[in-house]
Amino acid sequence: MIFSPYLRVTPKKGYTLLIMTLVSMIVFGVFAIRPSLVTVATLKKQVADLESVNESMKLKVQNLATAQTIYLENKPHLYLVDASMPDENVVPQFIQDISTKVALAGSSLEAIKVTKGGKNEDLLEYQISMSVACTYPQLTGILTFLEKSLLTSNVTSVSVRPHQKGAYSIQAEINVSLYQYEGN
Amino acid sequence: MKFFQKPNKIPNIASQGINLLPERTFEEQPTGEKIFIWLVGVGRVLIIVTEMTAILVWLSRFRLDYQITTLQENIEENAALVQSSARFEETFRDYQHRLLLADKVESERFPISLVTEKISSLIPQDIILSSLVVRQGEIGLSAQANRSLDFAKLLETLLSQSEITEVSLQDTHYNRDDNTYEFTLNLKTSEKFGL
Repeated sequence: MIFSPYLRVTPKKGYTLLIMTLVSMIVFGVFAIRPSLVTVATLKKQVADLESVNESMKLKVQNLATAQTIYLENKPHLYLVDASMPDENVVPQFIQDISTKVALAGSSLEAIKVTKGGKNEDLLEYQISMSVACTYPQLTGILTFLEKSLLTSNVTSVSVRPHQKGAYSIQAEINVSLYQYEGN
Repeated sequence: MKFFQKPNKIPNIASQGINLLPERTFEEQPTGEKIFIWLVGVGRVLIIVTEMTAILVWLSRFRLDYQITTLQENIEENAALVQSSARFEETFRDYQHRLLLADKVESERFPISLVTEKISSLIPQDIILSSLVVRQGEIGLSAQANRSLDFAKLLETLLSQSEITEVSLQDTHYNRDDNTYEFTLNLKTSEKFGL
């Protein structure tokens, strides 16, 4: 390739020098400056990502420290959570509790029926229907006992009618939803 | 005494070519001159800029590498802490979850003993209940009254309660044999009833 005419004639010389400059700039830009800048950009992105991760980890460690403090403060009361929502079958304990309560109240637990319900948000529901022969004050006591029971439950309905036999004045059908934790 | 010593051999310079014109260097060539001017002008600037950029990048890499190393060390340190607390975290989350579930059940709990007591307190003593059904938001009762006045008094009492949103009389009849009124009432109650 002969450059002489392009470098000798003034207008052509100007264009040639301009093209050479542009070509050089492009070559340097593409093969020298761009990789360097790409490297720096990559490293900067890596630093930003690591900073984000580091901040998250710091926050997590701080939260863990706070959680540990809260846990230690509340540890003496956590048995209540274990008792109210045990991860084992709660029905036997419930039946034992209500039988004891009914007996102590001087009432009579005539029938009890347990139906396993569905599971919702780690809570397995049991529907318990029981028939109790008692007096009205005894019924109030039983309902209050059920409401204040440590086990997580909800008395959904009570149906009362006069009792036909014995010393008890009423027959109460009590329906309870009992919940068991199945998270683990 | 010898003033002049004849050289042993005289060099034969006649056989060598003599060029008195100075040789033209590359810069003095027409094409080379232009390229040379460009090289020492624009080219030099371009090379310096490129090298400066490369050097700056090289220096900044030191700083960035140092930052990355420091951050990685910090992350590893914190990760070890988090890892060692994994069991505690699981326990804590489990308690939190159970508390949330218990709170949810508690918020939906129907205060049936209070509702039963409340409805019982509203029924006059002369009314004899034959059945009472209490559910969330709904109460059904069947009773008998010896006088129509007692029945009217019961209705008046129930209707005066703002928490009772609806009273519907389902069935009623007068028993001529023992002069009693038998009736069935269905009540709709608000969530505040009994509280």
